[in-house]
Amino acid sequence: MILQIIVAFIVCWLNFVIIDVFLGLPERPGVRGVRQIAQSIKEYRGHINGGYMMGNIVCSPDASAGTLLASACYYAFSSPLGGLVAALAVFFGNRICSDPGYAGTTGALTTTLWIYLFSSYLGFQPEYFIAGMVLAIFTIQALHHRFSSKLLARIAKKLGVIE
Amino acid sequence: MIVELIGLITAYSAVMAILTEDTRRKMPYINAMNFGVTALIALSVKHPLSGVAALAYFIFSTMESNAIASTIDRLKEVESR
Repeated sequence: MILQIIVAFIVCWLNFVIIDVFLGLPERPGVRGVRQIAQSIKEYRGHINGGYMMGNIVCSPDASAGTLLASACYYAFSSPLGGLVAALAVFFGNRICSDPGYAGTTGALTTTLWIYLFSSYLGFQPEYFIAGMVLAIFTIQALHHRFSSKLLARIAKKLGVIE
Repeated sequence: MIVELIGLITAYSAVMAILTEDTRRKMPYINAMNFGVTALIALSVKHPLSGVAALAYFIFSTMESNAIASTIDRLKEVESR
């Protein structure tokens, strides 16, 4: 079981970081207020672009929220229908937070696909993905802000999103 | 075991949010805490309505964070004038 949680953690981490970086979260503040969070992380000797991404995760439901809510609803509904309900809810959540992006919806749909594949072929339970996603967001938002913001900026540079 | 693990992470994030002095840098910790609470709500009862409760909790907690962050931004703007 511990091994399955670790695999789910890696899948969730890659899923939400890659979608968020590709959809340009580290590039600029998406909604008002993100600038202040990024500035405080920069003053803590982190990286400003990593700070933008962390601020965007805080201020609007993005791919990380999509991943968590899709796995939570997949668990609650015991079927892929839950993932689709979560995608719809995240879409409206984005609009309520005046964020024009599609990161959350994309994240919820891809997570539904991953859980469907992993549970039908490898015997994973959706609750492993819930635990994996909580661990994944913990490593980004709560473990060490300086390190995680630099890591996010480095990934964004590798993928060619920022200079 | 999953619930205990998530509970531990949630409690750690909450304590860090209290201990951090910079108000703006409390927000990521609170976000991590909200993820944990959402997961605990979803795992509490295996029923579609607990999934809906988790959805509602998470989306409105994000809205709250959004409001707090934009208020901080507005306050800084007023201060710098």
